[in-house]
Amino acid sequence: MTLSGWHLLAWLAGLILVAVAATLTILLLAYRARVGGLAEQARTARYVFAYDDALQWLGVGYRERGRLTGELRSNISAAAADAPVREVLERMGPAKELARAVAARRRGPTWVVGAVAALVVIVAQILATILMQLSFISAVTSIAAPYQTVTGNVPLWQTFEATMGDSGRVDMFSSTTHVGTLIIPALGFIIWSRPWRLITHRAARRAEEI
Amino acid sequence: MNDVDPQMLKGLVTLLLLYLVAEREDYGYALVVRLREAGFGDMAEGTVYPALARLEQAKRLDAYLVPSEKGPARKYYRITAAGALELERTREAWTHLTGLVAGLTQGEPS
Repeated sequence: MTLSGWHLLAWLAGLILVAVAATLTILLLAYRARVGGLAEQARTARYVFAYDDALQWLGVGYRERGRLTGELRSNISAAAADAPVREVLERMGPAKELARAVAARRRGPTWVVGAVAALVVIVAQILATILMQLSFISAVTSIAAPYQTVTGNVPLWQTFEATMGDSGRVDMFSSTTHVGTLIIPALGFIIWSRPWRLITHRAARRAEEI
Repeated sequence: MNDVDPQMLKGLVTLLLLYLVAEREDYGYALVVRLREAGFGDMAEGTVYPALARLEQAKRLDAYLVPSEKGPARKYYRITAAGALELERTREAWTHLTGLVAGLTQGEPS
């Protein structure tokens, strides 16, 4: 590796370190409560972050989560005046379970989960498409005659077209993506985000108010 | 003092919280402390906070924020008209139930 290569590596490592430190500082400032020293604040921030994260996965909206985490932080601050933070957090139980109990009747659609599911499907589709294209090119290379154009089609997904050159290699390759490709990520998004909760959630709230 | 079964307490937490808030508006941890002082030492925060959230969601309790010098603003709860009705109804049900249980269990088992 040349000197400039080492410089680049050190620069990248420094950048990653700064990014990690900045992220941790932001998380600490956003989720801490006024309790004891830095270690206790970090412990509290970790607990509140886990609580907020669990609420998000359970479909609790942004504002509601802000209210709930704010209340939790103020309660932890008050309780920490009477007992060590570790004990206070132990009495509340695991953050995920507390979030589940609090969110029991607030569960709306889980848009974030839906978006993550759609993203995972899209990445899988891109990988599958690359594999299909490589297989198609390989097949064309082995069976097609010079200057022959071969077309392949994966229903609702892609159409490939390759033309052989005279040197035994593919001279031209093109692929067209069909709109149908979007069906699977869209389905993933709908199934995982559970938009029907918009209806059931409102109905449940209305029933509780009566 | 005799230990109270946590499962029994879970069923009573709504009544206890409505009663305490009706008596005096308060925030989550202060309610936990008042419960402990009243002898419910096993009542954990993990039971009280979700119950408060449920009562607020069901509009039995109303909440407002009060700035605190010791950290984030505190969320105080006050009882609503629906909450007062619920408290009355639950108290009557509880009195009826304890009367029935006492009537049945006061004598020696045959």
